[in-house]
Amino acid sequence: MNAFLAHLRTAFRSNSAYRSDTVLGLLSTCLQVFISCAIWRMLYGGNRSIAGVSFSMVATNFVLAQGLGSAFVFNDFAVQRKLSDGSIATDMLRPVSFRLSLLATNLGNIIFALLTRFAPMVVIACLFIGIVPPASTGAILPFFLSAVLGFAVLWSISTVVQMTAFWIVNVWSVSTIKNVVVNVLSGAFLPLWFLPKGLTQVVRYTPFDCIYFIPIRIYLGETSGVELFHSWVKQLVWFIAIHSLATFLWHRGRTRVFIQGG
Amino acid sequence: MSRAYKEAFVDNTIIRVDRLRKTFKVSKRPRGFLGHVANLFFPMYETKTAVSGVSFEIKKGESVGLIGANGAGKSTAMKILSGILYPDSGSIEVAGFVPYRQRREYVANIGAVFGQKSQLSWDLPVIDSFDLLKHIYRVPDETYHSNLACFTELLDLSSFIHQPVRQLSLGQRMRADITAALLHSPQIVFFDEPTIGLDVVVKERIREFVCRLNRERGVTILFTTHDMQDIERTCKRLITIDQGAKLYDGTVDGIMDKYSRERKLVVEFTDECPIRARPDVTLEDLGGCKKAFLYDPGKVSTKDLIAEITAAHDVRDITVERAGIDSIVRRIYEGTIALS
Repeated sequence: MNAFLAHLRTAFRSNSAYRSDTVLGLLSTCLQVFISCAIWRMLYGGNRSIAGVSFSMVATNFVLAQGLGSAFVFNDFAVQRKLSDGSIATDMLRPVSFRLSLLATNLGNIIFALLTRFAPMVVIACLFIGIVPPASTGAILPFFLSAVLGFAVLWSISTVVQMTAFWIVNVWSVSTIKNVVVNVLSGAFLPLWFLPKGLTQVVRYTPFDCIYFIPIRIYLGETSGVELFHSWVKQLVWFIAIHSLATFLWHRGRTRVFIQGG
Repeated sequence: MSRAYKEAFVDNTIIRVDRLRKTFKVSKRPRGFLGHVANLFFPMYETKTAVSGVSFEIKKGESVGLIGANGAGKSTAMKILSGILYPDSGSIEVAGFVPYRQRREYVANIGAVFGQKSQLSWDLPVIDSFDLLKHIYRVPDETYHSNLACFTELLDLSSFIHQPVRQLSLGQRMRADITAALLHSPQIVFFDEPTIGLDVVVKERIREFVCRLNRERGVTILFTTHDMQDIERTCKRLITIDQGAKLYDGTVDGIMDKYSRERKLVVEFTDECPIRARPDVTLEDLGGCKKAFLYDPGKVSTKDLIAEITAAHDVRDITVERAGIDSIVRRIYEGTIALS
């Protein structure tokens, strides 16, 4: 087993150390999705569809976006915490890439969350809310590929936020701003079909719809053919661009490493 | 293979530090509410020098103690040596590597134990962290198992190796951390205050272990501590630094021979009485009716001194002590011993 997988496994095991946290995590994910769906059911007020968007499409949007969102949790404070308690010292002592070990730890957490939150939540939502099945069996694979790319984009954005800790020490405000922007513009809070037309045009030129909305549209069969290919390219380009920025910040930040507390 | 590596190999020098400097920017805040507000708009910084131009060389297989008062720059030096921090200037080379520049290749060759930090996974059993390190360092199965068996025995880990780290005592955690730093058989090990906060029994066990590591495996050791017994037991050479600069660099025996010739005569008088100073004797007030006389037995005869004191005063008790490394080091910090 290589070091990456070993890191991932360690994170996975650390997660399973607290059983009640696991159960409560599933509960909070379900509550979040059910509340969002309940609000939108009320807004629909018995209409089958509004502006060509059916309620079950909206429900599917929430189940997928918030379900994945509850699993795709990056700890924006990872680097800040390591700097403030000095544990970055022990990370730097290991002959592995610092950022890859962070990613491996994150993936361990995410796989754990996918298994204990996302998967059971989807089952529960299918039983009680009813979501739209994938447009076609052919849409499943493109959806997964797109979801992975969306994940990569979100990871690189979070890495940029984490790296700012080398300069501003407390990344809370940057992280909060990022979360608001990501939540609103990625389709996690408000399905992007309902954004004002002008804003939709703007969002198309940002990396945010790459995260959840593009994969969801693929799932619903709204994207196909050349457009599908364009979606992937867009996700990939944004990932490379943001990741390069994160790499640049890391190399600059590395020389500024400080160890607090003895 | 670099030229530097070959050179290091030929003359056996494994650590070479030359005029190393490291400064930190510390925010300096005026006092009071207005001061804090002003600081938001016009932040002021102060530059603190942690290490100022330290140079030394260490040969393969040496065991060296690095001591200094709190804030003297020991830990900063250790962290530059172990590739964590970037120095401001000066050169540093360990085992043919420049630690901060070639971090990933370099750290595979060293081990480091920081008494104040743990590299174990908090929520997992100790053995799981060891297993992670095995994969990180790509330790062959055979080496891993023989090392683990050896350290488990020497450091007596068997009773808690399957317990989560968060449930260990400090002494247990430290022994586990030492094992974690050594599983990949590093040839150079940095111990930064590994005995801090530990009881005498655990301390002794760690000292014995470090000695054997140096003696039997030929591991080069650099050790920082505030406990001088650690130094006496584990190190042959001593480097003291103060305010980021080197004060003394020589053998532990050398400094003992040079300064522990001095004797300390502790006298408890029956009542408080003025004592006249005497040439070649330093007087120290120990509180109450106790006084200490420090002198060199080559210049002042112990017998004469006692005779003189007992003739002039009523004495309840008298003891003669030899100065330990503790008091020598204290006086180096205080600047009352001039080091050449």
